[in-house]
Amino acid sequence: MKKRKWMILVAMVLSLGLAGCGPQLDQQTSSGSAGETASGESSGGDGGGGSFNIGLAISLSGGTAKYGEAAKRGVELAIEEFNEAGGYNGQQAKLVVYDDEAKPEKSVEIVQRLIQQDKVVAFVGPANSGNAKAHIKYAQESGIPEVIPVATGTTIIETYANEEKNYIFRVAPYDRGQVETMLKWLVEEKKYSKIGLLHDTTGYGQGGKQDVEDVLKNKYNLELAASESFQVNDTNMEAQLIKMREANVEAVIFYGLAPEAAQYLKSREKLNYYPVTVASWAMGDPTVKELVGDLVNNEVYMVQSFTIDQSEAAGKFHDKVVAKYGEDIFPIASAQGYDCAKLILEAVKKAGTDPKAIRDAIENMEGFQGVTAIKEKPFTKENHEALTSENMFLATYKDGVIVKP
Amino acid sequence: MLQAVVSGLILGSIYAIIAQGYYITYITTRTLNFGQGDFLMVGALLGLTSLGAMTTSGMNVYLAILLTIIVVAAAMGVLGWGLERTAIRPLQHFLSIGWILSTVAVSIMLRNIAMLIWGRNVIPFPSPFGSDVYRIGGVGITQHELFVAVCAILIMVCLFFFLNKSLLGKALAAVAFNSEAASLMGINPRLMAVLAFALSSALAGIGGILVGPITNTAFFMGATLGLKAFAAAIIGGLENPVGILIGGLLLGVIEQVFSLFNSAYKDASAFVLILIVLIFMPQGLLGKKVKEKF
Repeated sequence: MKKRKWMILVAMVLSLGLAGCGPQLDQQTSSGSAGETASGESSGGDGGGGSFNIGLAISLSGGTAKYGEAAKRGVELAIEEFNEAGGYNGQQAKLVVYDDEAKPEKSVEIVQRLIQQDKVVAFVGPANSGNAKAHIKYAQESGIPEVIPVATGTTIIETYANEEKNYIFRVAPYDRGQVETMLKWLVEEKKYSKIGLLHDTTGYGQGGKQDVEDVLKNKYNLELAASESFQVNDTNMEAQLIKMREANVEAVIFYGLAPEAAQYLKSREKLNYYPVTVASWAMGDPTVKELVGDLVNNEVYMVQSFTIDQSEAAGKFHDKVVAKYGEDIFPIASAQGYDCAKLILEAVKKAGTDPKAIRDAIENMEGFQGVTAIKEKPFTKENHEALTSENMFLATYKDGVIVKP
Repeated sequence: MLQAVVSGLILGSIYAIIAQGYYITYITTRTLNFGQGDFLMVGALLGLTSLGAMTTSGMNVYLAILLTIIVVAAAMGVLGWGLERTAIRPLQHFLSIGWILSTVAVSIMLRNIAMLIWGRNVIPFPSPFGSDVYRIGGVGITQHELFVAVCAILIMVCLFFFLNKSLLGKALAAVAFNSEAASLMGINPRLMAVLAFALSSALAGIGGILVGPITNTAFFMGATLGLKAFAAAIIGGLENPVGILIGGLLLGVIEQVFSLFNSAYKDASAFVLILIVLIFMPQGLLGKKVKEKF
């Protein structure tokens, strides 16, 4: 009997602990302002005083947590600067953050919460293309502008391109543009004709594969010499690389996220086979370098729209992040997050806090000074991609730092 | 091809080590820890932390490895004891299968706790042997992989002698054979059950330290490995340790060789193998044939 009581006690403690953990995870990310939202303030417009809400719906856990965390820091910096400069008509911007856990269904839930409950005037997010595809419907239908800092799936922006007003904008380098940038370098500059593709089996890699095949066929009339896939969590890519070697591949296009990119680089070392590798911007994830160390320095190129050395503004921004947070965990993601929030805030300065006016202001933004390779007039009515293949470039690792080659 | 076979053998020996954990608990208590993969993850992360702490304090690398293995094995043993006491024994009534779910529940809790402690990122696990690659006739193999292969064999041999030659091992086997008769002989079957679980968790923990540098470590790393190891155990026959070793190696090699032909269906190949084995040899490759008495 005594034993059973003890066990019940343990069970109770455990369940209490769990109950304590659950909501905490949620609250921790909402930065304390979710509860005290007054609906009147945000849509009230030029009232003066008070505050308005800006949302951030991004993954702070799950496979893309690092992207989300870095983007969050960028957004926080932008809002801080905006508030220090006096805000808009005395109104301060308030950030409401929710974690989508890299899950589409969660992402839909929190975007609805941002729109209906927190009455955000605009929001930044997400990190995953799948999540963006799942939730952009709600932003579009309720007329709340969304600026995407990280998700790169090609079709996201195209979804509402034919609507009268498209509420979705993007500052991340979209996949099709990345692929064009890679192939331009490989085919036009380096004159490679035997190109292999290595992609993961998630939506990200599948989308990348489609883009690579399309661009190769339509623009250069070429075909892939080898096309191999791998699964998330695979422990090596030797078999795939052996096939690449047998097909005499000169350059490999790699489409996958950081942990698998690390395994790929390790397998290259193990087989003593170092094909030129060109990867999507995910290869620039600092996790890759943490996992494989010096292996990143050998013939690895990746699409980027931001390097610390590209401009003075970029360098200054990097210093600011380091000063505030101690380190810049993912420079390009924080820079893109910063530009997203800054776009929204500049629009608020010009047009006030009405979401529809903000959308128009973002679309017609001129003279914008961002820290990524974004142009001064980033968007037009037809184009909601801030970064097209013109302002993306290939960067490489030099002594462990990503630089323009 | 040769490279794929070598990689497959190393991967397979990892599966086999984890799968031995299933075997030990199955023969003594007829239960399994379905969270073996997550126990492995905890072992890997614990090992990473303690190895890091020891090497930064300036200890000799080999001593640090040995101590880490002991620390992890002990900690995991305690965890296994806890699992048996809280999640298996209370639910093991006559014909109860509640333990299936409770082991899964414990593993999910472990995963979440690990996430809170070690964070959500993939953590690099630098091999204490460095990342140098040996090349033997065009086949590349890292020092750590050699170490894993040697350890796998060593662990199997130790386990074999422990179960067949030592008194404690014989007691375990006796409980497995007939627990009532064993208890008449002065063996405490409940103690043996706890021992079996502690041993199986310790094995998972050591497996974690071994795979860490190969797979990288993260709180979600255990799920696939545990499942593959379970497949290895089923293919080899749950009641035969040699069968499990063969099952693990077979699974590893088939996976790697198959991905030479089509990498997209690599994981499917492993599970197709299970189906084929189960259709033609329901008891596994080396399992005992049992006449069903119905």
